[in-house]
Amino acid sequence: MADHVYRAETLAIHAGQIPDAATGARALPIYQTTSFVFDSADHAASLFNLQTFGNVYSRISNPTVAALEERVAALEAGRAALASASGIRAAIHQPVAPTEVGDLELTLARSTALDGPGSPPDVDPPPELDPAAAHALAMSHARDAARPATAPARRRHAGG
Amino acid sequence: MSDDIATLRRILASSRTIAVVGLSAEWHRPSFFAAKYMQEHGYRIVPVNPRYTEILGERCHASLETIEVPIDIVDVFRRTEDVLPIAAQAIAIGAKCLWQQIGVKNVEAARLAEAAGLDAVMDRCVKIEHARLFGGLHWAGVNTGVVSARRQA
Repeated sequence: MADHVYRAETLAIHAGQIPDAATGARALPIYQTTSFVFDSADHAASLFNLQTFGNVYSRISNPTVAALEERVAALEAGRAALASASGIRAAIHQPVAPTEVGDLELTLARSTALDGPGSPPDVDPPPELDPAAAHALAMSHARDAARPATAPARRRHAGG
Repeated sequence: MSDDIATLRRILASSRTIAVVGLSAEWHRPSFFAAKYMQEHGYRIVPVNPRYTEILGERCHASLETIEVPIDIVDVFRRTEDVLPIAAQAIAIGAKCLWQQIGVKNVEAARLAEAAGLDAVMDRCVKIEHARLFGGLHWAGVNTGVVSARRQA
């Protein structure tokens, strides 16, 4: 038996929210809390180790925000979504989340007034360069780079 | 294969005892914290691993065959190529479900279990599915696929 496929109209209203366990509220409660209680020190440890599911602090997760995230993910047929309160946070999350220790992020800004369309320059530094040298090389390339604004930033492992 | 929401919910709702084959006693191993999560949510965990004598406060068995309590789910944290004899043992002890964890996909073992009347789940995690179907994963912004007008239990 296949799972039921819901229309966008249904998902837009109901996805991501289950009626509140304590009150039965059908509409989404707004959880105006920063902090959440732990059942025990062991429960807190499991939460901080990401070994169980739950909330720790509203800047990290919040049930109201989570309902929005799941609803957007459901409407977009994605696996999950991450909502942020500002464009800056979203802009930081987008490149930082997939990086690991030792990764080097090269991001090239493009001025639409000065740059014309063209193929992206090759700014990948040789792998033997240390991060500081790689950065300097990237900057020298960046000065005359004509990079489409929509091209993804390149990632390179520098050492490690 | 049992893979739809209704079947997975039935399996998890009707089961109480889970034999975890390949359970580790190391706190940071997924098998350990998945089993710990299920224990915290009311399931009896029966560890199966010849390397240990006790895990999570439960006596550890060297194999499924020495377990003296009825087992609902045999949850397999072993390599895909090792699952077939475990499936045969699960059938022999009268388990109701052969559950192969994420990354474990032995189709032959699943078919054997199904032919013997067991539910067969592959390539899924009991903890993630429990959280997906009974709450928890909703708090992580994950698209659970669950749309419900029922109050959360």
